Amino acid sequence: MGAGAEGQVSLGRRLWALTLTFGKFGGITFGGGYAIVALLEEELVRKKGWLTQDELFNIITIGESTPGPIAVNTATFVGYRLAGVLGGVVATAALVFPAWLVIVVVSGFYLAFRENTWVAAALAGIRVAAIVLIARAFLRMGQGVPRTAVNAAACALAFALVALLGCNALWVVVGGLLFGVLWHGVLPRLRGRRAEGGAR
Amino acid sequence: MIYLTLFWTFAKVGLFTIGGGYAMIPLIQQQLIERHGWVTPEQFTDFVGIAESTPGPFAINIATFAGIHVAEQHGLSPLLGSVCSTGGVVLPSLVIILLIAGAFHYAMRHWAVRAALEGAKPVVVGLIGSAAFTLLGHTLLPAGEPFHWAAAGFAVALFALTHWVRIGAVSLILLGGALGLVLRCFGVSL
Repeated sequence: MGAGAEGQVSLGRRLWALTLTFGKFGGITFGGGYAIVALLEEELVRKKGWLTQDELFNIITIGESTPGPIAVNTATFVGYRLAGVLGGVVATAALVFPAWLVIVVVSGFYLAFRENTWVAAALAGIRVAAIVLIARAFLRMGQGVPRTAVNAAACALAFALVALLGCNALWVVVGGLLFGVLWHGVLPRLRGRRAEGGAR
Repeated sequence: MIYLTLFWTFAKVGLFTIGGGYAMIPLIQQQLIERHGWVTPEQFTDFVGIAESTPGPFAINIATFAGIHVAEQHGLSPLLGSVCSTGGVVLPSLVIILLIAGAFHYAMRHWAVRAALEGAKPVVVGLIGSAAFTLLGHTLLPAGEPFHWAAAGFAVALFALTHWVRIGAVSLILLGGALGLVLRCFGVSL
């Protein structure tokens, strides 16, 4: 997030931009929360530059390890980063509104809606497009991680635990956080101390 | 007060489900069917089906749907009912994330927090990959059906397209829907 750009753009404008962006996301994300991760990566990191990829990683980690739907968590977090508490509330409301509105409209005739072959055909196409988007986000986010053997192993292990063994993503993320504290935090400090002791 | 009960029920659902909208299904099921007896198991299956096939986060869709249904059942305003249930499911994570986001800047000064987040990075990549993999599996190999060659070919074609042509995320979603309709005209079901 460009701190300079943030200072120049008025609060009203930032809130309006958040409303439009998250309203759009709320209207086109289908199914699981990772479709919104792909949209954030494309629109906010690549196109608009509101977030850095590192910040997106942090937001997903926090969204995945706190209660609530990940799409809502990321909307609140991004809104807060760009426009404070009000921004968090506005982005969340904008994300929720289209989803709420669609159900309010459709609830009266949902069986007819569900069994309509044209709706089903469009949805099938959208579902495949969403998978392509998520796969693309996977490749791009993968490039944002340093290429080390231990990172590759952590990534493969997380994939296998969730995709193949059906573990809850929460525990996998908590495992990743603990791994990080030990591998990137404690271990270098122990090594540093030993090196210091050896030099003396 | 049904409105308050709705709000409180869904606030609990929002507070106690961690790790995405689908993790909510068992809890919502338990609250709506067993605890309150508001919906039958068959109706609940319909809720899940419609929440999956409408835009927006799954949790929001299903909370809105349940709010409308329960309010109608009690002869109350469905709109107000859905506002209560949807507000309830959103509020806990909104408050928690705002608190965390406020403290985040300070927490990042500590080496352990930075190290933990660095370690979560490859894990997050693995999770995104598994989301794509699982969704692909559901789409190409639906339970009790043969392999969907049409959908597989469509996925490969769309992926190749994004490789050669610069196409935004929103456009890709809309294109996917439009092509789904066009293919259906030619008798191809994805």
